[in-house]
Order: sequence, then structure tokens, then C-alpha cells
Amino acid sequence: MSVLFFLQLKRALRAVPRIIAGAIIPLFLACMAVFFAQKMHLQNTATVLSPVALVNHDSEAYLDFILPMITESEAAGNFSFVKMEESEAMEALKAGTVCAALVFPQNMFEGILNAENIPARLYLPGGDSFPSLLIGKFAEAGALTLGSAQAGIYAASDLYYEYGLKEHLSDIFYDINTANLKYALSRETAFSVKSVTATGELSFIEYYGCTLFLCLLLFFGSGMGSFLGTPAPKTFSEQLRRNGMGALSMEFSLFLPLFLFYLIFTFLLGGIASKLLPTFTLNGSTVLLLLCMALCFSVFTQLIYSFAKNAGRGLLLLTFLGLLMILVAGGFLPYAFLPKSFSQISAFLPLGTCLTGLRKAIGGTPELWDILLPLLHSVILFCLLILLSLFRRKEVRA
Amino acid sequence: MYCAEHISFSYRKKEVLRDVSFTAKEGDFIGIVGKNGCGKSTLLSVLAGVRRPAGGTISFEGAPMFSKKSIPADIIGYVPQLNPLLPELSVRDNLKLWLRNSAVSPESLYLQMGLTDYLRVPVAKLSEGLKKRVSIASVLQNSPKILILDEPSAALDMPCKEVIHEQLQSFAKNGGIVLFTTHEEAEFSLCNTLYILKDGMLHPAPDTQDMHLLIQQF
Repeated sequence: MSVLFFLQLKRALRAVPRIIAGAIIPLFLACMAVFFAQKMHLQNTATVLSPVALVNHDSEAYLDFILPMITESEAAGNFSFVKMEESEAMEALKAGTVCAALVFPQNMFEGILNAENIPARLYLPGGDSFPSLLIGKFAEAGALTLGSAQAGIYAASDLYYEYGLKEHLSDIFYDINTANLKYALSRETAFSVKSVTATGELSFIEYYGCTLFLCLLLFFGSGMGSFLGTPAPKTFSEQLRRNGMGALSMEFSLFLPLFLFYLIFTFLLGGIASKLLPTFTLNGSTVLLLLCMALCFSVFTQLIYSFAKNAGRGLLLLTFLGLLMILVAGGFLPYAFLPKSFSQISAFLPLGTCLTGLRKAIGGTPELWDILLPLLHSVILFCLLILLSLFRRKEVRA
Repeated sequence: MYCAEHISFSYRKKEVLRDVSFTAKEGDFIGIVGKNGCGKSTLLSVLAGVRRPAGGTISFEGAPMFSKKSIPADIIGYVPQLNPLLPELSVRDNLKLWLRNSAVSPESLYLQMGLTDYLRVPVAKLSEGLKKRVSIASVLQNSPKILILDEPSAALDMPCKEVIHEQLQSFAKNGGIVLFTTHEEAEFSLCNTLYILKDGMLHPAPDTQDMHLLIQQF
């Protein structure tokens, strides 16, 4: 078996340049898929920018100070405010060219100061479209903010009344209003601004870097598998059997070089990733994860090729299943754009667990479970491979 | 003495070999002829130990063959119709794979077989004739007592056939037993015993020089 193992290794070594050349085309296609997925993702984010009609009937001087603070605030970043007449705004709302119409009635800001409370009117179209819901929530939050400002003004007024300074109140109205409004509006800073993306804690580069890592392994492995994973020609295996080599030994002599190649390639890619991504370090747990990934990929490749019986079928099946698993594991489009069940299914897919583990490793340190899952899959696939070999041996005997 | 007695073999319900018996002694050059699909390759694979017979016994020097898991390469060498070679590897690597006793240096055999110049060449780049020579050398290097070949000269040109024939004749002259199947009329003359496989049974060919009559028989 040792002679066969070394010769298989030698055979695969000679095939490496051809395999790498063969992997370039599918890799290019995968890169294109990743690129367009990312492009689509970014495009979706941009479409959230929704127009809101702003109708102002108030002639209050403060409005020039307050309005830009609202419209230019970060929280309102998803909306573009367009000043309109009320009739024009209603028409636009009906036509669906704006997602909401915000009407400031006459004396609204004066009403806030003297407790008359003339509310602003917010018109939303029917249905529950995302921009409409967003502006509804935004208005609700704005009302609460203004409410707190108003409460501050009342508290200051009450204090002046309490201490018999009512006649001085008009002198300091401007200062109180300015101070309180400033206080109320600057409360926004109390909320931390956090960008939430569909890729979670990972940046786009890190997220799609993981996908690329797996695609590289898959395409390299499918080429290597067509040399090593494919069962030997019938006459060759018959001769080996005559020489006392069993079906399992034959599988091992093919599997060991395949594993060795996967191991080298995985760590090579791991090394490159650690240089390019500062969050990815080759520590103990990451090394263990890469080892389990190499094992998982080798057993998966060997099983597929052994099942397919010939190189062409094996190549097609491995590429198709591999890409499907990467897709289900959110490799091309993040889970936010995929059916909810996909994230649950991916835990049962060998390449899905590898991708999840790799994302965790790039985002920080993989947990024990992230390492164990690919290992567990390897063990299950290995048992299937042994069963398949034994079945094939019985088939040959029959 | 190589002896096969009452050998039978079936592929599921289809009976391919029925009560096949023959004896071969040292120096015998035995040819087996028959129609396509009559079971010649199956018979050779059974005699070589690739397939287990459904019935009957095979023995060499009185001892039953194939009772162990592996067949000693120094007793039976088997060259199947399709060459058992890895095309990406060199001739030397392929020969090394099938060499049982690494202490033996088979360089003189490679020289006799005309392979010395091709030892570093990948098998994929060789002609069919050279590939067949490599296959034969891969079994001869283990110095077997019996050489079983399945159509060794099929689709080869004349010079290649001659090299192979010379080698096989030399093997038989040195006390080996050659057992092979053929469709080639010219190879009938090499044999000291010729059998016809018909309806799963092995019949000795009539002692005749009229080859056309012999061909009509099968």
C-alpha cells in the first residue's frame, strides 16, 4: 500500500499545474457570482432612500434652525425631504412618488411653547411598505423628543412662576427655548450610531473572502479528485486485489494523498488570509479548524467521486453540490436575502459548517462547536465512504 | 504441473463456463480460441484468480491455488486485455508498483523487452505496443511459473507482435507455462496445445494444419 500511496502522490503532483489551470475558469465564474451578489446587495441598500414631502404652514423663526437639524440628522439619512405645497404633497402621496407627507400646521412651534400643542400631521399611504413604516417610527421618536423638550420648557416656566419671576419670563424665553431645544435635539448623540449590514460582524471583504476561500478549495479539490478520488480502472483494481489489496486499502491509498493536498492547500490559503485580514490569526483553534476543514473536504470529495464512479460525473456532481452548499450557507447572498430555513439547513451540510466556522475564525476565535461540526461531518461521510466501498466490493463479487 | 478441474462459472443466471478441465506442464504454450463473448477472458480471469469459480479446483504442483487472499506473483502472472497501468506515471514507476521483490533487479528484462529507453517516459505517451510490453514486463519481473495473457497482441503492429512472441517463447523454453487467448491465425503456430472454448466448454482443437477448418470449428 505504501508504494501505491507514494505513486498516487507522485501522480497527483504531476497533475497540479493542470488542476490549477482547470480551476481558474470555474473560479472566475464564482468570483463573478460573488461580485454580482455583492453589487445586488449594495443596490438594495441604496433603494431605501425614500422621498418625504415636507409642508410647512408655520412662519416661526425657529423653524429655520430646527428643520435642518431634523432633515439633515443621521437618523433621517434614509429619507430625502422635499418641500411642497399641501395639495401638491397629497397628489404626490396618491401617485406614490413620496412615501409620506409631513405637515407642520400654523403656529405649531408657538403652540409647543405655550402648551397649546398643535400636532404636526403625518400622512402615510395605505399598506405596510418598509419606508412608510420607517417614517412612522421616525415621527413617533421625533414626537417623544419634542415632548421631552416641551417638558423642559414647562419645568423652567413653572420655576419662574414659583419664585415670582413671572414678569421676567418673557426676557429669558429665547434663552430657555434655545437651551431646551438644543438639549432635546442633541439627545440623538445619546444613541450610538451602529451600521447594521446583512453580513453581520464581518466586512464585505471578509465575508466574501470566506466564500472565495471555500470556492478555491472546492475547485482545486474537484480537479485533484478527478485524479485521486476516481476509482482505479477495473483491470488495475483487479490486479491490486490479486496482490492482496482490499477495497478499504485501495480507498485509503487514494484518500491519503488527497487529504495531504487539501491540507497543504488549506494552510496555504489560511496563511494568505492571515496576511491579508488582520482579524484572522493562525492560533491553535484556527489551525484545528483548518485541519478539520481539510479533512471534511477530502472525505466529501472522495465520497462523491467514489459514488460517481467516473471523473466527469464526479467533477459535475462535486461542483454542483459544493456550490449549492455554499449558496445555502449564504456564501453568495447573505442570509437576510435567503429563505429563513437556509441558515438552519446549512448546519447539516459539510461545506456549510466549514463556511460558518471560517467566518467565525475571521471574525475572532471559532468556538469548539464550530471546529467539531466539520469533524463530525467528516466522520459521518467517512462511514458512508466505507459502506460504499464494502457495497462496491460485494457488487464486484456478485 | 498446473491443473484445472471441472471449473464452472456464472454471471448471475448466465452460465459462462461448464466443467472446464485441462492440465499444463512446464514449457507448455497453450492457446485458447473462441468466438467473441464465449467466455475466454472470464476463463483466464478465473485461472488467474481474479474471479472465484462457482465450482471446481485449480492447483499448482498438487497444492490448491487461491486459498489465500492474495495470489503469489511468483507463481501466476496475469496480463489482462486492458493494461493495468497508471498513465500519468512513468514506465519505471508503473513497473515498480507491480514488483513484489524489490531485492531483484529486473534491468536485464527491461533491456530484453526494449523498455530501457522508455523508463522515464509517462505511460500516456507510449504506443499501444509499448504499453503492452510494459504490462508483460510488469508480471515477468516477478519471475512467475505461469503466465496468463488475454489477447496480448490485439491491435498491435507486426514488429511489436514479434517482440512479444519472442519473449513468450523464451519464457516457455525456460520452463514456464504460457496460457493465452487469441484471435490471430498466426499465433496458432506458437502453441503446442490449442483449445477451443465453445458453449462454456473447453475442447482440444483437432490436430490440423488447415487453419480455415479450425476457424470454422469455432
